Amino acid sequence: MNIKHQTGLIIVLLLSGGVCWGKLPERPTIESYVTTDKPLNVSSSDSLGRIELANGDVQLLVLNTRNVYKGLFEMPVARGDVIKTSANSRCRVVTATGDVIHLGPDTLLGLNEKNGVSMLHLWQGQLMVYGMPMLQGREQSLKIHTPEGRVELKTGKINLKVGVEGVKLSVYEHTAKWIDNQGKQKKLARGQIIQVTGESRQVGLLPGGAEVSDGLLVSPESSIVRDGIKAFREKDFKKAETLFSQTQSAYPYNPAAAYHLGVMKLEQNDLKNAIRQWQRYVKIEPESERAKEVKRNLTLLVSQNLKEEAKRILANEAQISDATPTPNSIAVHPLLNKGQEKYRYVGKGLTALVISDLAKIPNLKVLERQKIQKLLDEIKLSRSGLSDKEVALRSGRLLRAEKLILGDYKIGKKKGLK
Amino acid sequence: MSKNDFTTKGRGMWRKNIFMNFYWILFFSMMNLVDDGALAAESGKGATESRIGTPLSNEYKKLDRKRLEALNVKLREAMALYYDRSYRLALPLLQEIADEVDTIDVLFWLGKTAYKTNRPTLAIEKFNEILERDPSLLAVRVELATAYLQTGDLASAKKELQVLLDSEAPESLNNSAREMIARIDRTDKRWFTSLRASVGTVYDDNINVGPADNNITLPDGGGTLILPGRLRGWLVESKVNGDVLYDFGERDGFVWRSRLNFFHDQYLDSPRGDFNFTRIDVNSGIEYLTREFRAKLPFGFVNQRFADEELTQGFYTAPNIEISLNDNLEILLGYRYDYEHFVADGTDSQDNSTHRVTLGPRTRFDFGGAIHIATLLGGYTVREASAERFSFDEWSIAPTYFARFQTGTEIFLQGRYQNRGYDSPALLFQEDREDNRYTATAVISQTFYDHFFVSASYTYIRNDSKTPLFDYEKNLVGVNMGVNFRF
Repeated sequence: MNIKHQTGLIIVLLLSGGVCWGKLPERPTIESYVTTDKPLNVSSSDSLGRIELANGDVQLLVLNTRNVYKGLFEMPVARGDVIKTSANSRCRVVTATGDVIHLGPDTLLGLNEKNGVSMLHLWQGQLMVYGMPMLQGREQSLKIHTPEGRVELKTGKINLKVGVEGVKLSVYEHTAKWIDNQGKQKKLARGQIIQVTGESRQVGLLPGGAEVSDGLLVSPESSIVRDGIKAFREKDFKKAETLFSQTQSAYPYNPAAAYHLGVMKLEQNDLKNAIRQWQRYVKIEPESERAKEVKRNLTLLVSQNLKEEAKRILANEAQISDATPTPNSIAVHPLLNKGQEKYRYVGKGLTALVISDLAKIPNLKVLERQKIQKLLDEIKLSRSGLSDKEVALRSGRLLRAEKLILGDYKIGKKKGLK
Repeated sequence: MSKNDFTTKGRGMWRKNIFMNFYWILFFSMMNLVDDGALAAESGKGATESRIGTPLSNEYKKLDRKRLEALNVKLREAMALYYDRSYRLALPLLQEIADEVDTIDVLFWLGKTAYKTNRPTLAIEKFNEILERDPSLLAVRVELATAYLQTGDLASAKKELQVLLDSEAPESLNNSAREMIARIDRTDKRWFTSLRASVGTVYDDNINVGPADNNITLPDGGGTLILPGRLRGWLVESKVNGDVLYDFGERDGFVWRSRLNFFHDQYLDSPRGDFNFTRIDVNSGIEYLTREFRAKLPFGFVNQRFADEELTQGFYTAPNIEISLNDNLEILLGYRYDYEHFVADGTDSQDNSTHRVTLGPRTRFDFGGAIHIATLLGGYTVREASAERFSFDEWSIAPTYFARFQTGTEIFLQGRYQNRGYDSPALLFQEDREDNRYTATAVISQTFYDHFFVSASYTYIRNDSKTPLFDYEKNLVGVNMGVNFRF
């Protein structure tokens, strides 16, 4: 072979990508790993991400120590580690670059990194991968090696299956590139599917409903919520709270977690967190029948909670009043009506408008009108002889606001609103 | 409803569907196309998605590293929702991000999320912002066109697609744009016409509506009426129905509809030819159509001929409304006023004015690969004729079932009960006349080659009357074939 031919071969190998990124390594010998409950220490430089949520029998095989870990929640993953799920088990991994990977049942996945590029090795099973964008742009693709070739994904959502029938790649959002072991490339767009078995390669369109069924099969969300609801019904609230808290940590918009956590917090008389959870639930599922009921209960709870908070603040007034105000906070006192009594109702609306406008300013914390009003009521009940302005200043201080907006309005017959 | 109404109803379905839903159908079909378009675009030159990694905004550089990372976290949260089609929850997050860093990608996702959550104005604003920065992003024009469609602004949608076609876009993107323009053109159409004509043969076992008893004894020694008995025979039935509809163009708005119905029964031999019957009904009127509400105000003229001579001339108006309670249930409320003048000598005592009110529910559902429509209409009718013996009060009830299968087969079934009390006895009789009439109709029709159909029908009528002269039964069995065209 002359030099010309050799150069050509090198160029071809480089272009094919096979040389650059290699192929799927040998399947790890799982038997050589030993189960342990020792603490797992991963330095931040070695960390490739973390197992955010796991449901069922999920194992982390740590390359450095040859140890196997179970009961995974917020478990760090390092270079060379392998995650194994058994039947009916699912797992969610978040990489250091924010990509999300859902592992379905009977899956064996290795995690690695080369020159700052995340690489996954899928020996068997099924993944749903969410390639996440960055505001400054994303230069590197996530690379997933399979027995038949590899997938490259920058942003988007794909499903990848490795089984006896070969490799099946479905693209649900944006685009992904398939490169087989011979270096042949195929760019797939949203709605396309490719099935590769040895030399055979078939490209087609995704069947209807595939995304939903794949999601249900792979995501740990639905199965862990199901377990949480079961524990809740069986009144095992400790387990239910753990499961729902884990779910919410990984899926902040899961409605079942928010609703049930709200119920459990209410049971524990933790009004503040019950309200927070139910407010979150109403935001997630505003149109549901359950949300209507929750909204009704929330109104009562908020009022009750405010009263208790005001009482608590008053009881500790001395300490609180001298405390440093909350930075960048502003309290808006209800605007006072200086005109005819019939225009008193306008005050609430005007105050709401001021609050609404102030709330648009980034980094400025606006203290709620309702909270201030409730506090004023409490103060009025406990003390007398103070002018409205003094009371308002004090309420702002009590709420630890840095600044306070006071005002009044007058509606005249000719001059309108002043 | 006569059996003739079946053809009217069947024929009217396509138009009703078009005018109830065509903007939505167009929008959703465009959504699919856009997805295809984006799909093509993503894999082609000039696509927004392919620009990821090279954002056309450097505003992120102004942010400190901590703030940028916080926004990246928010972007990941938003995109996870976006990828899982939770657009409503993704929208506020993307808006917050775009307020600080409006890269092309963020604006693009925000725009798409906006029209997926039925906020086309916001989508249009964002897509236009992108195109102001880089007009070469042709895929964005497809998205912008779709957002315009959602607002019903077909002209702007078409304009954007035309800009794309005039540019050097990838062929796949051009194909999507061409297809979208073709669909818009179809929707932009204002005039709709349809014609349905059929001819067939019917066996009538009581052509002269002869009573059950041929010898009728008149009261108070008035003698006995000896009647000729039932006439039976074949007739040729011809029907032509034509519709012209003008759409004023608003998604929820007015259309003007004009309709011609021609019906002729030709008996094949004399003396049965004395029973030949022709009816021409022409009407025209405005209709207001929305997804939840339909109101119609037709005015019509009717001319009837019997035994080859002119029998009546009349006019009518029939305002009616249909209110959708949900996707499957509607309430129908109608009123009809008829004035009928009998032209033939000696028949003017039958001149009459008739008021009729109908009310009832209609349900529509899909099952077993077919559309099923069931209606139950109750009615009350008052007729004031020149002679009291032709005046009556009537109440009626009529259940109807219609099914259309994907195979092109249609089935129509109807039952009707009428109770009619006349204001005075029939001529020669003394007892008040009261009729109970039972009618059952069944029609099956099969369409083939899109424009042709054959149908078979059966109608049974039994009129139980206190006056024996009007006590009769009648059976009609027929087959016909015809054509059906829409322009």
